[in-house]
Amino acid sequence: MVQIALKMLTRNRGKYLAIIAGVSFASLLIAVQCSIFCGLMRLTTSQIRDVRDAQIWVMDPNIKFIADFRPLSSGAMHQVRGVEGVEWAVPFYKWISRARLDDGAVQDVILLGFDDATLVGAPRQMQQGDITDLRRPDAVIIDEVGFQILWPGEPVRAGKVFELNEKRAEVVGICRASKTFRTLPIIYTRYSQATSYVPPERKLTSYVLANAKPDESVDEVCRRIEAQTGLLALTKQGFTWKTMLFYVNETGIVANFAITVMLGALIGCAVTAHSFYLFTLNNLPQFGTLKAMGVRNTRILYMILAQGALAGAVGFGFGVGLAVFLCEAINRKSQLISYVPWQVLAGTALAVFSMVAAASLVSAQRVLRMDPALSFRE
Amino acid sequence: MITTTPIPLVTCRGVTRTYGSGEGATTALRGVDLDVLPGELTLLVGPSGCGKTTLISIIAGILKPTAGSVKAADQNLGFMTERSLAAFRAQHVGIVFQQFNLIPTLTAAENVAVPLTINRRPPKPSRTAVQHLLNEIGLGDRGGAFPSQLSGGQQQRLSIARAIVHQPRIVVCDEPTSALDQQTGRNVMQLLRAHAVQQNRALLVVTHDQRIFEFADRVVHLEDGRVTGDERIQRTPAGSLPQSEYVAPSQSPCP
Repeated sequence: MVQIALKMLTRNRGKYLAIIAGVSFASLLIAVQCSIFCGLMRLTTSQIRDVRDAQIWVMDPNIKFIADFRPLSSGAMHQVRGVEGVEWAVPFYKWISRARLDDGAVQDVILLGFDDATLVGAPRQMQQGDITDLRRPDAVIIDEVGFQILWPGEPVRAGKVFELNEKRAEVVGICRASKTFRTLPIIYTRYSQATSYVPPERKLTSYVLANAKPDESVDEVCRRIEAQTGLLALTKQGFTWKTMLFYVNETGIVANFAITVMLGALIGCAVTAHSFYLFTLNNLPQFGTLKAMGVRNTRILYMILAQGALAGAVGFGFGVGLAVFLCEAINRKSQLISYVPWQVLAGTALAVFSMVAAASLVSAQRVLRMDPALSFRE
Repeated sequence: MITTTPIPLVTCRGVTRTYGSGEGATTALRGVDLDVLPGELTLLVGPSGCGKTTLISIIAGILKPTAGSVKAADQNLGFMTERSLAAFRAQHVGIVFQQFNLIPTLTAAENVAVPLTINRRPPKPSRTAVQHLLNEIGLGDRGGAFPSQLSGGQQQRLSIARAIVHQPRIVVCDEPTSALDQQTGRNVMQLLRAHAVQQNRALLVVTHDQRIFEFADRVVHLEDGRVTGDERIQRTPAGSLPQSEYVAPSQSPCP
């Protein structure tokens, strides 16, 4: 009977395409909106992700997210190094500084300073130059997108010179970095160099990056650091979540996206449910005939659910495929970034199949209640 | 020479059917008694609204009587659940509809195979049975055609094939010739006789079409929910069809 149901669906081309279009549209809306939201959340944590060498971030207990600057005392690093289970700990500096170019133009930049000796936190994907070039005086590395912001239209190449807080900085390398929430150029340099670019202050460490010894639990080491130093120690993942939750809880981003996603889902749901309801209604005489011929209501229900499942699967496939394609296009052509984790696909699938199942069950009511004797009265 | 009375395949006793309740209630059947023998083509005739369709719906297990009893194919339909009635219809009843009621998105062969699918028959023998039947009704080469690609007569032949493919014991037809021209209607009735009556099935045909009375073994007249006439048509020994032997039914209601 399921085969009959699927033939009833797929051979009715116009209606079938309308349902597929409805489901695809709903899937597309949900998947794209959620992917843009996930991309946005990833933007907020890109600098945490880019530091690949460190398992633990140690910071001021009042820090709310990565861009919340609350410097630590110079002794913090030594305190962390002294905690049992810590393999190593290095300073990490992060500040918003101001770059002055040859033509006098000024541009805010993100200044990142990492440990001189270990270079923990340095960029990993170099486009030009080498990370060891940073050992030269005044040497900085800039991300590719940042270069184009500072020197628009110019070929991306090392050798450019500019000023940071009235001190000379020379671009010795170009790297690839993840996009950030505020699209600012990222300047990478050694910790000692970075601190020379900012006004003298007593506290010049933004974070302490650390690793646990191989046989130690990272969570346990974090707990020990917190207990012994009074600082906040988070795993990389923990800090990522803290940052994302700040944006979720403290900004209107989530509410705005939730409304948009919900509206998209509602519209898609309405389109799909309407198309499917009309389709089932259109097939009412056929279902009535089948009932008169002895098909039980449960089998009729299976038939309608099978039609819904097929329409849902095909529509979901098209919708999500198109969503991934669109997200890829968005990532290439705009500063906005979208990200399609499996959770988005699973969530979209859940939403779409729930929607189709609901539409199937609602439309099935008419069929299940239908008196088979009506088949004689057409 | 010993003659035995055939056992009726359908027995209706005091069948009453009322639609609705209270002041708006309408009684379609009022105490109908009827026996239908196997191998008998029975026409149910009468004015519109006299209860013909309700009666075949009850005999087919689609509707339940409000009062009275119906025994069909050795089963007492009055005591059966909806689920059992559906199984009864699937197994023992073939239905030919006035408007054919073929599924437009299925091919001719797939339409004929539907009762076999409902009865979960294995696919391979089903395909063979369907093709055999399509050959017999003269549509052997149209198995892949959709109903919209067939004429009205071809569609009704297909509908008959669908009604008998699963070898039901009872076949009910609702105005099977009303949408067809005279010659096509005759062909359809000949087909029904050949495949239903001659294979010892009970065949009940609701009709207004006097052109097909000559095919009947028996004409039962209904009026206002009661049987008002019941006549058996005498066949020649060779069993050939009589020439316009229909006589107006008696106006007296059956006891």
